[in-house]
Amino acid sequence: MASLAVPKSLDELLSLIAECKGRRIHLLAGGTDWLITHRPHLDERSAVFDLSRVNELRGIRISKGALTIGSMETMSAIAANRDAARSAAALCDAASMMGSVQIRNRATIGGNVANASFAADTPCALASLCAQAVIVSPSSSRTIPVESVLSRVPNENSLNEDEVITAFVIPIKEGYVSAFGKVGSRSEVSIARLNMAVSARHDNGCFTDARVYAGTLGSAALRCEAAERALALREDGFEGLRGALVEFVEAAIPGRHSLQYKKSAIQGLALDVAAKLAQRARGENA
Amino acid sequence: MKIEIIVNGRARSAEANAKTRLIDVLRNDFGLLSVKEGCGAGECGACTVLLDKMAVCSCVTPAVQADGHEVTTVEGLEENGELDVIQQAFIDCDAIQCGFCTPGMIMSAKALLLKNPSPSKEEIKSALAGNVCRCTGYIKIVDAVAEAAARMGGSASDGIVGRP
Repeated sequence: MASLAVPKSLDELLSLIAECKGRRIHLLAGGTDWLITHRPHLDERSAVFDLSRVNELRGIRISKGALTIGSMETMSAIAANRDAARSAAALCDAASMMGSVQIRNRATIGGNVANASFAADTPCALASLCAQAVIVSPSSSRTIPVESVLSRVPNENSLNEDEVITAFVIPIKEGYVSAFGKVGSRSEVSIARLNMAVSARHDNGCFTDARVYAGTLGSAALRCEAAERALALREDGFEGLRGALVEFVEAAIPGRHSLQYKKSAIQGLALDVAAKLAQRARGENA
Repeated sequence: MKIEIIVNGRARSAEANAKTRLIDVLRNDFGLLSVKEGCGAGECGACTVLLDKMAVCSCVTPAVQADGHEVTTVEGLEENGELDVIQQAFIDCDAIQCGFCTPGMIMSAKALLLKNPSPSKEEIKSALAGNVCRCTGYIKIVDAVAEAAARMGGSASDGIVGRP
């Protein structure tokens, strides 16, 4: 039987992990993906750590010019947070559009990133916002761009087995706006067939210093620099953006059966996201 | 390990391991059979219960995470022999066909109305988006939730707003 521990602090968690040499470590966040994927395969080598009582993994706060979100914060909590809405609107979009109410009430941002599904919604939003992942292990700590946590293998992250994501730190940039959108088979409770997030500085009708990331294209967050350059043109001229994204999809998933669909869909999605971005730049609700 | 949960207002305890889901404890240990397992993957909502007044899919909630918390199922809605206003509205609006999805629908509706006593139809549909009815009788279900909201607010206590 797999072991189960419920540490009450980060120190306790790291101490327990340090004692787990030779065992398969499972970090249990919200459990909404973990139970489905891992429950059938747990064995006596599995050491499961429930993270729900580790207070250091909670909290959404602004400090030193950055928004810090604990890795155990749920999608519902993030979507409803005013500080996050002001400084990380794309992330709030993604959190509010992920799964159903029931899933959003349990699924966590740390779990969503660490699970590393190509169709996950928060990674591309976080990447567009220059988010850094704060990572600790029993012997070290480091801070890396969120996209570095992801890998090009479905549902695998790049972290060492003894590493824990404690938080995501998003720099607050004055004059910047952000937005996220997705395309799926349903209007709600939909797994993304394509998703996209953009953050950019709005300046005299132009979007500059943009970061454009898309998911589901062989990664949960793939950057499109050509689209960023195209966005720097006037905000009402999105032809260049559409062209750049078509080439981006062709390069990302050559030969895949969904290529034609995604080449078409990404253009419509980009227009939706850009429209939301423009609305926010004008100070309108979007 | 032993977990303790306030279930429908009553302190209960059960054994849980790494594989134990909340639905396992509710059905197998506590005999709360209103909690249905449909997909087992958090997609159909038949297993919806309230965890600290928030709707969750009990099939993808680790039992250990309910330790020390409050859980409400349909069995906990009835008070002094009286059905909850949402249950009665489902009956009065004919919002039940085969009935398998009904407990989950009612618990999602309960969570919505606890948070938002006067939801719009769109808000009701959004709150129920994670609950699948294979009989596809959604219109009457949405009507029943609107009716329950109206009865709770007292604005439509004599009429069933969803009926043609």
